[in-house]
Amino acid sequence: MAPDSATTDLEQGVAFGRYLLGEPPSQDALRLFARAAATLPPLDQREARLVAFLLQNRWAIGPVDAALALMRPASPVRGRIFLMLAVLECLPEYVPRFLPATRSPFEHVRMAGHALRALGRALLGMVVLTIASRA
Amino acid sequence: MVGSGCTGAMAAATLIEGGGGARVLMLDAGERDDRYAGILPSGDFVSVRTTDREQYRYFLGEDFEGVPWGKVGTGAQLTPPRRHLVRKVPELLPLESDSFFPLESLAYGGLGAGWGLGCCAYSDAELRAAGLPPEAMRAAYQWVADRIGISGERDDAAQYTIAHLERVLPPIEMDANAAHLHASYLRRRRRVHAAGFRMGRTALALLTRAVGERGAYAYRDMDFYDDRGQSAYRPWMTVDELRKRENFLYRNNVLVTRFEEMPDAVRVHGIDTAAGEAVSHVCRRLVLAPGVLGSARIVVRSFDRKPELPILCNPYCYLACIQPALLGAPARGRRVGFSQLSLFHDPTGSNFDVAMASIYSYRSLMLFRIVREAPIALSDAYPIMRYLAPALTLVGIHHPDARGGRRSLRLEPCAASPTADVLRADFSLSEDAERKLRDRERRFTRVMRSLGAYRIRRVDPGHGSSIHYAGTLPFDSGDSGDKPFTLRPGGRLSGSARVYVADGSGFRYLPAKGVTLSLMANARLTALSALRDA
Ligand SMILES: Cc1cc2nc3c(=O)[nH]c(=O)nc-3n(C[C@H](O)[C@H](O)[C@H](O)COP(=O)(O)OP(=O)(O)OC[C@H]3O[C@@H](n4cnc5c(N)ncnc54)[C@H](O)[C@@H]3O)c2cc1C
Repeated sequence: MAPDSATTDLEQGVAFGRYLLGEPPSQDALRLFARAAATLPPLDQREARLVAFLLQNRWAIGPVDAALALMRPASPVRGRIFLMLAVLECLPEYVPRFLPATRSPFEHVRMAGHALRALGRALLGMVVLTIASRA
Repeated sequence: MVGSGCTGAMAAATLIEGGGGARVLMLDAGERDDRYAGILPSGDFVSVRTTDREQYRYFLGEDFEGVPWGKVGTGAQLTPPRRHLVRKVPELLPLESDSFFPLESLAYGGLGAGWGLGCCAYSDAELRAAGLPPEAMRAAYQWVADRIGISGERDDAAQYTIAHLERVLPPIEMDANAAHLHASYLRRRRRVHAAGFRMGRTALALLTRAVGERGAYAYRDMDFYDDRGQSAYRPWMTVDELRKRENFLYRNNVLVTRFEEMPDAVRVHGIDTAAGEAVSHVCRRLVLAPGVLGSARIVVRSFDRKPELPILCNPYCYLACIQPALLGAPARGRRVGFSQLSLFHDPTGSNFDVAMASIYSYRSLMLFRIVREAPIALSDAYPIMRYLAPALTLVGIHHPDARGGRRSLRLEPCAASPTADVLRADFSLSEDAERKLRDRERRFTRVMRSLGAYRIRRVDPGHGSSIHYAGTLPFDSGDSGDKPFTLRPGGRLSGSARVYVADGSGFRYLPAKGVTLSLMANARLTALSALRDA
């Protein structure tokens, strides 16, 4: 593997992990993500440009992910974020985020919040994705 | 014998135990899991999730082959430890189609190494339509049930599942998701019946009491990953037992390609899949059980004429439903990966032309598999899915299949294939059948809603995804007895004196109810008929 692609995989792991968790991912998560990403086919030019854009503009990962979910759900870029999610789900330190242990009355409200945020992100994302694709 | 799947195992056991000193050689592709069995933990799903730092190895796969990306297709539920079921299939069993996407296996135990254990006995009307003798099948069902162990309940659905079977073990305990739906059904039973539906416990080839070396189901919720304790019936267990007998010989790494019938014997040709060399064996009688597509290939290759063959396959789709009362419920309690409830649509009450839904709760297939289906940002999707998952009820609907529409299998030359051919498949339903199917799905949606389970999504993985196949060499009871590419009642290939087909190739009609118990019962009848002819 070329050293620059390994660096990019690691950078992607850091960026996508932080996006999914809201905090930096553990070393184990990064190590696993890098191993998993090495099994994926290389990105084509358009997707590689989009990843580079996201690494430089990390605030845009959420909106672009949301837009891709609607416009290009099979996008390999989204596939990489998804891969990080699968890796995180399989690490004991993140299990509570994936297996709810208690039922809280605030959950309904929190979920409504997520749904609203998802909508807002999708709208912003469509604009960002259009700009990023032209850049 | 060719094949160690559910049908091969039952036919071989019948031959070996039938007296008369039959000696059986089983030829089988026989792919095994040599990667995961040693690393799967003994703990239950939640304890594994919270403690095992290496869990990614079996949940995602050593090569991350268990992280799906792209369209949901046939066999999406195969986890890394079960993926050996389909190993070498694309190379050795090439199939081309843009309308039919079946799942075939070259594994030791075949598709049965990962089947969902759902058992249903066909009604007499269904058996007759399929070309199977009701009385003999009833005896064969009991023989199979005694052998594999079936748990179930004498409830509203029993007429479609365990029917006349005796010695049925008590059902497994339901998890919260199934129990909630079942309680709702019991409250609204009369209304549901009026709509032509019956719900009951799914009959499973799963032990709820220890029998011999097989243990009782331990509620580990690792059903999609391992066979620890052997409470779930897998055909390799039968073949393992047979291999202890002197008159039984098992040979793996053999892909049987064709046969040649001689006056007093049959020569079976194949490829050694490890060495890539041609092999051949001579036997007095040949019993084929490589699955209906496999039998079609072998039989067509064995004759000069290469006709189009028919195929039956249950149309299938699944509905993702939510039971709102369970939203956000703790996911740490007991969960079961197998189907716990079945819902049957039998509007005429005739136990014929019945549609069947197998109902599942969701946990051990992991959140990421359903998160990718959500059309929103992944960081919002996973907390939402975590919240939805305890309330998620999957309703897999199977429809009966009779001939109609355009469907065919053709074996065509292909130089790139190790067998020098490729199976080309076409499958579509008639407009009438499509319309009826949609109407039935609407009825399923409505009845689920009346039980408090609201459909949020319908997924159609395409024709072939039911993994229930039959009818490539249909039974023919005509007087001449030599109509090519059909089977005589009893499973002998028409026009042949020594070749039998023990899988579902002969069925002329495919009820929606899980086919495998009937496949195994028919395999026994075929083997008995081979013994009688010997
Ligand atoms: C995930 C899953 C869930 C399922 N759930 C259910 C369920 O709940 N209820 C139900 O009724 N059914 C279910 N099924 C379907 C069930 O598994 C099949 O109907 C059944 O296993 C078919 O058995 P078979 O013996 O006819 O063929 P197969 O299982 O396909 O066995 C074929 C055997 O022949 C061998 N073989 C194939 N070709 C060759 C060749 N050319 N040379 C040598 N050997 C060959 C293979 O190695 C294998 O041993 C499920 C299937 C899957 C995959």
